[in-house]
Amino acid sequence: MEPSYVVNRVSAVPVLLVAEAGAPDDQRKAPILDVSGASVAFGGLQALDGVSVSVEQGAIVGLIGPNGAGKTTLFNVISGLQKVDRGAIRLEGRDITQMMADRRATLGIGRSFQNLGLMMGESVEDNLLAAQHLAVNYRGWDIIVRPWRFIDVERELRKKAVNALKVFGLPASYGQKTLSELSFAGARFVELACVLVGQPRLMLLDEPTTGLDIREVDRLLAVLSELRQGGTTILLVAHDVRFVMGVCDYVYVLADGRLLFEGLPGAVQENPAVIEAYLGRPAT
Amino acid sequence: MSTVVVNGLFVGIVYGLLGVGLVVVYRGSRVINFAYGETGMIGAFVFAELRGGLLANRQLGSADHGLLVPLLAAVAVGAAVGAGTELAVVRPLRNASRLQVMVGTLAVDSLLLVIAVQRWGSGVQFTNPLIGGKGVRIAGLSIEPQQLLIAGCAAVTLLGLWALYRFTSFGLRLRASAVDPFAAGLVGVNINLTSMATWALAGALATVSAILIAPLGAFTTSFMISYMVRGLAAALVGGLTSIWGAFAAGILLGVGEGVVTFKSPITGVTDLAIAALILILMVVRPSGLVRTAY
Amino acid sequence: MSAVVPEVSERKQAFAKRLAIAIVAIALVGLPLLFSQLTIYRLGVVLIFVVAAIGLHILVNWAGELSLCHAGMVGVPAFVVAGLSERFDVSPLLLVPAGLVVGAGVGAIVALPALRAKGLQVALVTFAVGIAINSYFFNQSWLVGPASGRQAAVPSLGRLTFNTSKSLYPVVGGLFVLIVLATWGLYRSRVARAMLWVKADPEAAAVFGIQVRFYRILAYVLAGAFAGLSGSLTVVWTRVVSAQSFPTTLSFTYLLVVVIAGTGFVGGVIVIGGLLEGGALFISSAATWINYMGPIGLVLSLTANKNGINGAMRQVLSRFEPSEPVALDCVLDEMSPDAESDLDSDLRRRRRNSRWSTLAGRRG
Repeated sequence: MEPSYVVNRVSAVPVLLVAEAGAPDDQRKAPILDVSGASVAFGGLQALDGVSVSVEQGAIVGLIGPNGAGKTTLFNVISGLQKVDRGAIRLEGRDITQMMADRRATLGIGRSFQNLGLMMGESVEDNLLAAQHLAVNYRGWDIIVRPWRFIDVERELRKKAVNALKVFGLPASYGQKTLSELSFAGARFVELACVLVGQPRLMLLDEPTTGLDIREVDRLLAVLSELRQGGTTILLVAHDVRFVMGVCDYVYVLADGRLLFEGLPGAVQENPAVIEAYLGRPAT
Repeated sequence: MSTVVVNGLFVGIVYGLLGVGLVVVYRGSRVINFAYGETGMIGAFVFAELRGGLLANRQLGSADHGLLVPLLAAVAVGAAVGAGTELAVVRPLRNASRLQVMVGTLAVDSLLLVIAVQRWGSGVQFTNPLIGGKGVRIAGLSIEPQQLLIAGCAAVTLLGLWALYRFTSFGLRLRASAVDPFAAGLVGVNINLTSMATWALAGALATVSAILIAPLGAFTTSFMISYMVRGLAAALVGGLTSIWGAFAAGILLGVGEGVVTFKSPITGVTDLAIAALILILMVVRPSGLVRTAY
Repeated sequence: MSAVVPEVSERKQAFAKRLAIAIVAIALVGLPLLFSQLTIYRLGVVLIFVVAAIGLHILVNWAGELSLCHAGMVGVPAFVVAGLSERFDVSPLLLVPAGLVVGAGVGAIVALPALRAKGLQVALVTFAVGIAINSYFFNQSWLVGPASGRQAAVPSLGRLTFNTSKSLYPVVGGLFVLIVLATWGLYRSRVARAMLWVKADPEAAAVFGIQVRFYRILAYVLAGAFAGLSGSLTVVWTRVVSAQSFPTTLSFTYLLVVVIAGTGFVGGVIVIGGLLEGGALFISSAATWINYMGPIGLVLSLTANKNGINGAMRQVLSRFEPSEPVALDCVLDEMSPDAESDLDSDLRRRRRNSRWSTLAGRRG
């Protein structure tokens, strides 16, 4: 296959396209994320019970399930906000189970939140700059000792912020708006841009389509496809079945803290146990 | 030395009561009421003024117009100040951060001090002993009537609180609102009323504590400030949620303080020790030494 | 390529802003020299008060924490500097860095609980520490000297000796401007952004790589450092400090200023701090009024206006800035699959149809 490139929208650097899904077995990539037997209990409630999830590099994997199934808890476990009682989490073979959340971010895990984990009182640009916390390579005292370095790096960060906004079709002037002024959809796009701007290798998106209308979901789909082509791995939680089935290569179904089913999107849609879990009664 | 321990014990009982009051507030609103001490101070001064009269130069008189009416009035004032604090600060900031509410109570604290100084000045005031008599001797230790009063009041208060939380429906509502105000509201608990009642109760408790403490030291408008730290330390040991934990910690603190002051009477050394204690406790066991499951 | 025209006017705006700030800074340092010694003295006291307030502002408004011992964090370094200056006859100006370090150290100690405890519990520690500093340390003569206080040496820098307020003012004024500049640098850096995020949502901040505990502790250390600077400058400016110079009520005054000022840069702190401290100094009858209105104003500020003075100032300033009415809908309207690959043509198209009503009409 001829190598082809896509331009990384944030850093404006060409990135070699990863081989597309459906390639022969010997080109299959090793899992970038491997969760094995994760169990978490909150007092009497077993939020997760022996859940194992494996995500291949460059794939878009969906995580679905009824409310209270443990999807956000699983995300918290992967991103480091929740300790597991039992089980292990591996990132590219490396055991990160005991690692703190901020350390995991340095390894390339990015995550969005159901309720927007941003600073609502600050501007869009400030949020995007803050999201690039790890990309900053000046030290605190450089502000006084080497201000030119400080100014240069800040300028770079601002450029990347503008590029991230562009990916979602938002103009640079959007940056001056305060987050609380925006509609939920606008703020959601800003949050996704914040995840994007850190150029993570693994993106965890928690309900990214909530609050978006059809055009906005299409926009998001386009962005995710392009990200996947550039080599980013995506694990997403969604309630929008059409969205999940449309973009995911593989789907895990969670219910009551346990893995109910896993497989290709088509198989998941037809599985009677899955239908029952969502509708509460056997499929007719 | 034994007298020191006995005295410390009774002072400690009052510290315990202060801690308990702070726990009551924390259980209700998840904040520390920084105006707690001054709420009590206002009540204590109202009590003293109604009992002894107020002279021209902002000095309290030495008359004795009785105990009961001034006490009831003072407790009512304390409860009113507590309820007022809830209305002005806690309720509007129900969804704000807990730190903002605490800053609000600091503002109330400052205001109460200013009002008190305006009316009663900042000098030392005369205190009428609450109770006369000869006291008793138990196991070779002599106990003052004042101290007996403290023990009696503490016992009544603690038992009353325990019964309130445990047996009355009001107490159940208090506990429900503390655990989950939203859910409590959903099942029909009037959160506003419950919150105000909690703060009024705490205000009354502060007044009683302050009236009991007043004869023990210099009676000035700022006399509750250092007692507040001690009450706070006791409450923190109780994890801010355990009434018995706070009370027990208060007693230990009182005894410990008595011994330390006896051995080394340097000004402020107990304040330093308490600050160090709180610091270390918050580093080592921030949730306190006593756990409670409501 | 983005249009050249907006970029140039943006640069002109930025330049004008910087010029205005430079003029204000020079006026701040130069103008007062026209006033009397007493006025200059009072102005210096106000500036030094604001320096400490800036430190608390960083802690409370950026990082969302609380300190109730700020007066103590100003006082302890002040006494250290005054003591060293008196004992070794050293100019207190040379000891200012020492004061900063001592203040930062006190901040670090007070912040230790932040390793494991939440903001509320750390605030309680500061409360106890504040009282301990006041009742123990400020009664220790090895720190605060005799009842008459400590008398520092005459401030001097090299061969320059500053005997009067007027002569010393440019130094203090200049330092104030530098401190504000450094704070500006902090505000525009990842330090302030990290703290703001930790305040808003510590879990989300962690997930984006921010070390939450580090920034919480740093906020206390910075508060202490600014307090130490203020304490040292107090010694430089007033030369005499005694145990009554830093009462616990002063901690509340700092908090009052900072909370009313609200989040943002230091504009609000300068205005409120200036009004409060300046009012108390310049208007003799203001003290009682401030004693009552201060706490009331604080409660109102908390309950009514969530963003404080800084927020109000921002709202006023935003009315003067041109705004482009952009909504997500109208942007997506413009996007077609082909346009996605050419973002510049998209920008050009939007500039052509820059009136909101036109787009709304076209949506039909």
